[in-house]
Amino acid sequence: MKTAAKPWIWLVPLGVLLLVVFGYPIVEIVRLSFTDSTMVSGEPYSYTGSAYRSVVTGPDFADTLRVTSAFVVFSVVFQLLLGLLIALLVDNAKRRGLRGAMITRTVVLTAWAIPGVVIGVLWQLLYQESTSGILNYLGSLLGFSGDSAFLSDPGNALVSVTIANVWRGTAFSMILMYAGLQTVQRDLLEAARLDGASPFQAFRAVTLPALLPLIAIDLVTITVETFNSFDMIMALTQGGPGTSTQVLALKVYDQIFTQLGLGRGAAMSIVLLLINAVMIAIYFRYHKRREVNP
Amino acid sequence: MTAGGSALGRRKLFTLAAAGALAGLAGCGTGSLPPRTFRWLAIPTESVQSPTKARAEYAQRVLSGYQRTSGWRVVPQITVTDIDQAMAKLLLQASQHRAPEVAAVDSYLFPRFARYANDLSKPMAEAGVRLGDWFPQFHPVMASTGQPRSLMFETDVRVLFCRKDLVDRPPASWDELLHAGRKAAAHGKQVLFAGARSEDSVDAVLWPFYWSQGGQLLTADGKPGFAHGKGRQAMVDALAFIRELITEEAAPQRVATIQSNDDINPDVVADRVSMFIGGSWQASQLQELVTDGDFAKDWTIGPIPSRSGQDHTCMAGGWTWASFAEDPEVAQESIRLLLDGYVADEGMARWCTVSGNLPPRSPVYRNSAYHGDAFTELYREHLARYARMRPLRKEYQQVSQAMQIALSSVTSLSAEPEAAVDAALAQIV
Repeated sequence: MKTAAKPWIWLVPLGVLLLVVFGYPIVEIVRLSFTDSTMVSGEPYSYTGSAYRSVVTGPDFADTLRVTSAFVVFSVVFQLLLGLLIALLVDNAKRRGLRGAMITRTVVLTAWAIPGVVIGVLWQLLYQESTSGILNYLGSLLGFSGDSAFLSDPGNALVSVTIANVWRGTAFSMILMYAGLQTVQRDLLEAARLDGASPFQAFRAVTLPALLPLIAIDLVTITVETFNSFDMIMALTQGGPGTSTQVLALKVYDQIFTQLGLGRGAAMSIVLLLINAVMIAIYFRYHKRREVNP
Repeated sequence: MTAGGSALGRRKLFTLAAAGALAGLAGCGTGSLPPRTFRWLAIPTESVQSPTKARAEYAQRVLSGYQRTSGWRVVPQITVTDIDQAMAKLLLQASQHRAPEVAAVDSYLFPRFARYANDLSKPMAEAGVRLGDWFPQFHPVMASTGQPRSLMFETDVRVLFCRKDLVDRPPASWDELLHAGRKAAAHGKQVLFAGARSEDSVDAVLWPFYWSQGGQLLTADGKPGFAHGKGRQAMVDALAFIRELITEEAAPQRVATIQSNDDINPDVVADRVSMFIGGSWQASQLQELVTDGDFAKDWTIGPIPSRSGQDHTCMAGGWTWASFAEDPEVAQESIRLLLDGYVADEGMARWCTVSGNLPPRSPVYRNSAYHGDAFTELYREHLARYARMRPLRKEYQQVSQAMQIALSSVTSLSAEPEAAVDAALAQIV
């Protein structure tokens, strides 16, 4: 009875933990974003809004946002579509009792389980710009030049990095979509078929509405994850050539660790945090509306 | 079990948890070293876990020999492989007085560490090591505050490596490099250099091309030396020449993806290169990697070509040891390990023989324990005549970062040299 009257006692440890590992760092990063601090404790710093001013007015940050937006939009769209497509194929194969559905699922999942740095190195080997590169070698066998500029041409580099990221992230979407497909009522699909609905019509009227909540979760998760992409790009291009593949997380790292500009780096990380917070807020709003109007 | 017993149990549990948490936090701290013990921080490639067997064995031998004779215990620590991140972390630790007692510091960054490091005048004098023995360009690194506070224990230079059968003599000027490069490219052998967005790229190519025209990277008040006037023109011209090497097909556009000098090695082994701008350490690597021929006999070296064919320059890098120990006895003992193993004549001679790097102290070249490679005498001459350090001011990092992007934009042919310099200047806050 006593404990039921004071439930907050049981929440204190979690609250303290969250404050220490989550609340304090956020407060500190917000504070640092309003300074011209470097990484060094002893060096004097002052409170200023110059970091935000230079982020807003400087051409470099706008360029980084452009690159990040293109990278995120194309990555998310293709991860979602390919994930859905593979999930439909695997689900269909399973229902028809075809062999290999389990193996296909496992193989696709492997890409998701590989660390980003390793994926960066793997794709670097694929994209290498001489006949030593795997894709260029295969291309030369098919009659192409064998020296395609996958990473040295700025336009191609962003496409190449996005493709590697789609390869990496599709598995997560596939698993979510596959889980969603298991919740679709088979008798509804059967009824639609008996009513003369084509496979596409059945998908649109029965499968898609059942998948919508999972699509929303997937959309938010992969968008946030793609905005935070760092390790794979660091290993693959380090943001180059020029700034053509420099995404927001890489820019923050560069500001803080390479240029030791903690204040400006903190301001940029606040922008990244806000973007992620907006994405999550949109999801919660959607979720709440569905609870009201299921 | 009674209610009281249960409450006691919870209290005990809380006490245990709190004690555990405190013990954990204490373990994370740095003040819990046993007596007569100190930490020794090295970069991965030079640590006891170096992937190069000879280097790992040397470090192990130095540590165990020291521990045996001194009775002190050394705790080896290793930085992360990302050197920028490792140095940023070490700088933070040093400024909070919790850095390892002795640590390797990238030489061009040392002036930022200097105020936290110990004065080494006394241990150097006791070991008979004089600041004047180091090549003069290293003095500002080691003694930026007036007293020596770091011990530079290895260095390197960037040079132009040339295939003797394809290039008559190493080209001295930009025109000669372009001409010889185009001639060799007609036979399928190209000029390579690191042209991606990396510190290696600007160090090996852009800075020497710029410096040799009389340019300075930073003015006396820390502003970019290429913001206007002759400096700007020199930087634009340096980038324009790099672009010309690519557009004239002496060098391939894929130099835009070459991050480090070492990335050129596979192409040399695959016989696709006529000339390359690389580091002095690469000759010993390539001597082992090239199985179809003798690298030392088939290749020669020259200074990095300059616009005029004279006034050559190149970048010299290297690593220093610094002492951050707060206890004077620990400071004295820990620095003795470094002096014996890496800095005094015998130690530096043995270490540089094993590592393939160059001794930064001139007397070591005469030491019988030092064995360089076929080009060592030339490297030494380059060190004495052409080598420069990067600016030691903190503004350098921002300038370097901006120019790495500019160089990479030019090598990927996505920006004209003038626009690349303008973009770099706009980025420097």
